[in-house]
Amino acid sequence: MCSVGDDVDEEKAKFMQKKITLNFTNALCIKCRTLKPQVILHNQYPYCKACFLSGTVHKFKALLGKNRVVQPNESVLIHHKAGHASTALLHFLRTGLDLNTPKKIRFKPIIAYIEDNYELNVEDRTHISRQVSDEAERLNFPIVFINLAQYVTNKSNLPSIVHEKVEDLRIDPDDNMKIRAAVKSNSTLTTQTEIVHYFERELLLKVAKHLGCQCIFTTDLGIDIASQLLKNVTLGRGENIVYDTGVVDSRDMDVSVLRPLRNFTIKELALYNYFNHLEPVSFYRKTKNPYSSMQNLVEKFLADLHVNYPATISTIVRTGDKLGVNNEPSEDRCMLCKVPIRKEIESLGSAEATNFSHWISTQTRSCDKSLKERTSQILATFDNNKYNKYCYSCNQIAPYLCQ
Amino acid sequence: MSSCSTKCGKKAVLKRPKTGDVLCKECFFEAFETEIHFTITRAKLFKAGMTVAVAASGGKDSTVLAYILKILNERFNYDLRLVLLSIDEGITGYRDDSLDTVKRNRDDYDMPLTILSYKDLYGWTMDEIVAEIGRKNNCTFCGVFRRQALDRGAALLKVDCIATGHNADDIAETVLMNILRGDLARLNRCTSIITGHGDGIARVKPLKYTYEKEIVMYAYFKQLVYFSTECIFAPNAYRGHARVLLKDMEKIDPAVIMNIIHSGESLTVNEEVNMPTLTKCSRCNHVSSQTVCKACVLLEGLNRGLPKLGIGKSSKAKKMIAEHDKKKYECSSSAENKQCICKNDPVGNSIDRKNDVTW
Repeated sequence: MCSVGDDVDEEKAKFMQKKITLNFTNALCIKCRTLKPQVILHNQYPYCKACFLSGTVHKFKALLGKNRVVQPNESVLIHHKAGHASTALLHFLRTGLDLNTPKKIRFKPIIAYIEDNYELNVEDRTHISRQVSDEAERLNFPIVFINLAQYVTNKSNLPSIVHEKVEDLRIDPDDNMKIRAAVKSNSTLTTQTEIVHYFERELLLKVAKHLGCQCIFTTDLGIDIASQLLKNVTLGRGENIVYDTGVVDSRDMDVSVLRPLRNFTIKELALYNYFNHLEPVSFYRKTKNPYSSMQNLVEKFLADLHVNYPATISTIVRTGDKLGVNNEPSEDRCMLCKVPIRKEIESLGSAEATNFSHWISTQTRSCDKSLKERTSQILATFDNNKYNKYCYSCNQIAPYLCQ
Repeated sequence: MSSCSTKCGKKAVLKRPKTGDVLCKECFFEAFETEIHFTITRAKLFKAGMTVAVAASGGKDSTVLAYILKILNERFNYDLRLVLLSIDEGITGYRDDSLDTVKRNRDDYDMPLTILSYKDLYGWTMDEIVAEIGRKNNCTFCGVFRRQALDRGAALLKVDCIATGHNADDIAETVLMNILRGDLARLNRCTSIITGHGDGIARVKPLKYTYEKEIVMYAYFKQLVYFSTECIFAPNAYRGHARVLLKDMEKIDPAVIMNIIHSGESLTVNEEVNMPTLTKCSRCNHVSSQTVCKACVLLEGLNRGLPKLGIGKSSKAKKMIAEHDKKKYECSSSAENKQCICKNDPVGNSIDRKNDVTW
């Protein structure tokens, strides 16, 4: 039956809004209403430089103030990813730390740079790491360097691979192979990306604990959050959405992850850096084939959406903010991603339906029995309980992990 | 193609997109039917003695649904009384042809068929509505009216529940669409296999976990008669970005559909968020989130000669009605103005003003 129009909104129509173009020839700053605007945000709000800069800093501090996860004098790990977002975050922190007013930031940031630019050559990778080191020095922050490949090959001895000086960071041309060796070769790029993502999260948490940090700041922007949400949905990680895209991820008992830049766009931070004369660490990233993995496809889809329907990104982020988890907090957690595992639920779900499909597709039909008897036998022998060490999605990637 | 995954020794004829297993024709039939039986029994969709209306459009999904419910009902003694319920939107060249298919299903599967037309229910056919409103927004009328028409038909036939042919692809697409549109209320309920429990007649989706591709293959192998032409008012009808994205994702990994349904099922709305509550329409008594339901607003617009009423926000509808009433009052009070069109508007004047509630 025709399904067009089934989704007509009865109230509060929030259709995906197309990009609007306005004329700002004689406009004034929307905030002070006196100066000529220099910046147009969200395609419709003109700001002068001063109002833009104070608004941006305020937005950052407001999020920190609203979510009091960090106590004074605690250490916070800053995950440096090279780029506008990382540079702006460091500058926000530096200006906050240097204040002499009651609004002064009172925690101690430590930067962690995880080296994983495996598609580049050794010289470029070394150069980028040195630039990151210079940036940390310029803004006067302590920093540690870790090569992800070294962690994957030698998980047990963390202190030996966490380096305070960039000179000590070992960069090998075969790092890519080391990572690949941890994942079975018959896996898809989607699975490989998931596993590397899992390693990175695990490493960050371990480094934070190693350095005595109670909190990690990431540099995820609004579009990263939206992209993570869609990736989670497509990979069957509905349970993870709250943890992976929320303001605070408190999955780990000791270290919580905060995403202080989640309400920013790359444009805002690039302009912030520009006005503050900050030069971010930048390098050429290879364009990815969107059809090679689910993650690449989602990223490409959102990048296109960002151009034509910019408001949709924040719609997705806000939708994520209003979501919760469908189950009671349980003690059983997924061995990989650590989300609480859904207990054997009363109602039928997608996982059970898929398991049943696979079960019935691999059982040989005994032709001496009647159709009805065969069906009852299939139903009686089907056991859905054997898959509960991992969550739904990790169940799919766990077989490809080399232990 | 390799040999059947069940090791029956036969050559496989299709690869299952859900699991990647390959099956021969006989094993596919049995797996397909048993899976739907599993869904029905495991999710407790029906109770013995129920009368179930199959929402039949003549398309592949509803044809397969009617056929499979009939054979499962006989094979496993569900003790259901199955009837077909069709809605005639009044679209010449589309619905009249597909209704012929439904009539064939009625004869083939020996199920009584009831056809309800928009003309009978609302006084307008889709052809007439399109003549009034044009090709833009006409799908809004069709969608809103159809949803309620099924409920009305079910009430008329005194059935216990309606079975619809929504398949796994439809549901995954709806989940994505609701995320992109930020429609939390629908995101929350679109993955439920049974909806409309509390008030009104329950709707069930026995094909919720069945891939569209397998439904087509099943209909093809079983040589079921179905109708596959697009509506003439919405050729190449699409649900926008969500469908394009899903089709692209399926190319990478067809299991994505089950993943998305799983995600949809495990989502729930944060307790602190205010959600719209469903009430009953003060005019027609059908389920609605507003005091007056969308169907009544749209119908009112058509009858008053304001077809745009109800397209968009309800606050706009209120405003339009107020303006319309004001204009009418002005011209009827000035006796000189004999040329005013509203005097010649028998539909607008015939509206019983006492029934006009505040919008």
